[in-house]
Amino acid sequence: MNSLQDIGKAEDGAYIRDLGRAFGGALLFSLPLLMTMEMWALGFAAEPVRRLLFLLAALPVLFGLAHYAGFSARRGLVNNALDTLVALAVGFITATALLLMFNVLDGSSPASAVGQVSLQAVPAALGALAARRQLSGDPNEGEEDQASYPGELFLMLAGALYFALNLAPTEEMRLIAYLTTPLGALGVLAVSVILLHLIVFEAGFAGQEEAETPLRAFLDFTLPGYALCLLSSLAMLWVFGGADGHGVQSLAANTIILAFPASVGAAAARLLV
Amino acid sequence: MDKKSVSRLQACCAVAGCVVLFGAVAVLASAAFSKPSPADLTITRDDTRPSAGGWVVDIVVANHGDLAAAAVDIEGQFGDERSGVSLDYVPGRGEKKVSLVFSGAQKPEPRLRVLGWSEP
Repeated sequence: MNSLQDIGKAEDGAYIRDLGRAFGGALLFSLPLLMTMEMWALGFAAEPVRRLLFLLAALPVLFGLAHYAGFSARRGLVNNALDTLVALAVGFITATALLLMFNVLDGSSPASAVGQVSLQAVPAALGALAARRQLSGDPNEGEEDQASYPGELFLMLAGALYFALNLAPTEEMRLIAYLTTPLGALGVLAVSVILLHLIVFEAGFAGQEEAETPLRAFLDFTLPGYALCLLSSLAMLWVFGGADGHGVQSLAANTIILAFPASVGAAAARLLV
Repeated sequence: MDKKSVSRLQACCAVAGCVVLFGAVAVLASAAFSKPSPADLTITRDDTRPSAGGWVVDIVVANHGDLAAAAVDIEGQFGDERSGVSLDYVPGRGEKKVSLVFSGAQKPEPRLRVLGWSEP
């Protein structure tokens, strides 16, 4: 009996350590966003339906990340779902505590306060789920090596979100897009694709063992990976209101500029998540 | 440790996550699916106090609508003197405090008005 209690205590101790790491990951990833002025305002200025969709669309991404990275070593559908919910709790607690501490939480209505917190809680939960990978000290933590081809593409998407979310709400992204000439935007696109390909090929994504030629890696990983970067960038711009009122050319420039950090994040997905 | 087992502590933390998630979804969904009223700003004078440069008039700008107002310009006029201030945002159902400065010797009782605002 005593040994069973000891095992239970040891498991709880390990889980508390995992939770601590999750808070560390949440803080590490969300601190830049928590200290970004645009994010405070978007919490109440963005349309409520977009804030809601952002939260709901994040759930499958967080679940996938719980499967491939996660903040605890427990696995299986139930554990992944529980990890996702706990990561969200960690994200909400971290975001609420820091916004309160910085005295920027707008309490004028529940929708304002919840909007501000939920917008920040999603990236914090993303950080919490990547914590074991980033903070455990063991680079082999995580299940990425067993990832299937769709799994590898999912990890690229997670890496793109992980990196570009920090930049998407900032005014600087829009300003760069406005200052860039069409030729400059094409240059950014080319550099994004080349960097994505070089880093993916160097990082040695799973599946590359069978597809060793650069051309095959380009077709299998770089092109679909960059398409995911463009789509996720467009989605982030829409959520943060950066796509509103733009013509096609201007919207394309905004998307390509944001897809640049997204593609670096996607390429380095194995290092980030 | 069995990698597929669920501990009581883990389940408790997940319940906390479930509560905050559904709470947030409920609040955001009720805001998303109700027809929001446009921004509706009013100004009230809070306090008038002397300062080194003359008088400072503290005012409260309240938004009685559901939608946030951005780039809100406010003007106060007392006699021939005008004073103005800009606010980045006034959240829906929220309020912000600002101050206008008047340089005259007499304690001002300015006429206050909102010049305009834009959608965020």
